[in-house]
Amino acid sequence: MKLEILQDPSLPGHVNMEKDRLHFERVEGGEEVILLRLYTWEPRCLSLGALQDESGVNWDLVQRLGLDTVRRLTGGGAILHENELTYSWAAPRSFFPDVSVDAVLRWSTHVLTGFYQSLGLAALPASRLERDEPLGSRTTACYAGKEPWDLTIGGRKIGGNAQRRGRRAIFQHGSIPLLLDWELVCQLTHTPTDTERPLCLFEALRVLPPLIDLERLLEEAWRRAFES
Amino acid sequence: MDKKNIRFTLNGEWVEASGQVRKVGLSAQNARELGEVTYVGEVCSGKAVRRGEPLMSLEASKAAFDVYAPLDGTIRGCNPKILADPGLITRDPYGEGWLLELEISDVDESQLMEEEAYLQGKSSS
Repeated sequence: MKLEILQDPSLPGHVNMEKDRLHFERVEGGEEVILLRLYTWEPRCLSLGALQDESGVNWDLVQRLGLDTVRRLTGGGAILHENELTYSWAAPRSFFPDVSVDAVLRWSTHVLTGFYQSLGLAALPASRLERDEPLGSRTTACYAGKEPWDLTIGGRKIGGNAQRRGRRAIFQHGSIPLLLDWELVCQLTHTPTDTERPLCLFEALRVLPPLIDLERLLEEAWRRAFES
Repeated sequence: MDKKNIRFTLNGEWVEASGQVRKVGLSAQNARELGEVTYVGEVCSGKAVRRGEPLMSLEASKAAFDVYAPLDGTIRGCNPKILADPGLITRDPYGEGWLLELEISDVDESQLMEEEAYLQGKSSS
């Protein structure tokens, strides 16, 4: 199947989401193509899941900071997109042998594990952690909770993915946090400050590779997966 | 709900097979495929819809999706129980987890199918 890859410059949240929506609609409209997008955000932006309850957000703080906000096409919790590499793809359902959310997330986690491995990091899905903590509890901040197919390193969450599903298309978003202002995320989402701190790439690597290198590695990981 | 009394779309919605105002829901297969539903989007009571148009949006823990009208009609209201407990859609898709009521204005039900045909169509699509 044909794969189109788009690498965008930093864009405002509403432009990023509109571009994603157009990708979803192209595939949902019947185009037999896989559309992969890699992008960043400028200005920083707080995104909420498609139908997420807004009451958990600290809107006073959002207003005081003049923070950009947007709704995603996809499900999941709130994410502060700042110093982050984001990917999205839209693919026909027919690409996947098993279209269940669980199966597609499992496959995606395998792809992203490969991406982290290319950086020398051993990532594991949260479902394979040998811990008793419950998975899948609903949290206002995406990074405050773990779902079975979230990526973890050293037991701490480093990335999650969420989908929009149509009759013909599956669309997925995911974040690679380069740096993370966790205190601000907690304040924005009324998350208790003793919640386990998620990991970002800088903390995991002790150095931040150039964005262009990260984009290349992430593109290669998805390209291999979609072309195999 | 007896599954003999409901008909399915290939996309996985079900609708009661008779009556003017009919319940609409999500098939057990779709519910299982998507996972536990956590949010129910707004339902516009009184809105006229055509077959195949979005009726409402739902969000499972990791996926958002639309439910489409199985027939032409007018939305008559959402199941209040799923607003209080969206997980019913996943746990009891043919019972208390029905989604909404639709007043039917379309007598052409030729694109609806019984469960066996739906399951066959789904596995080959």
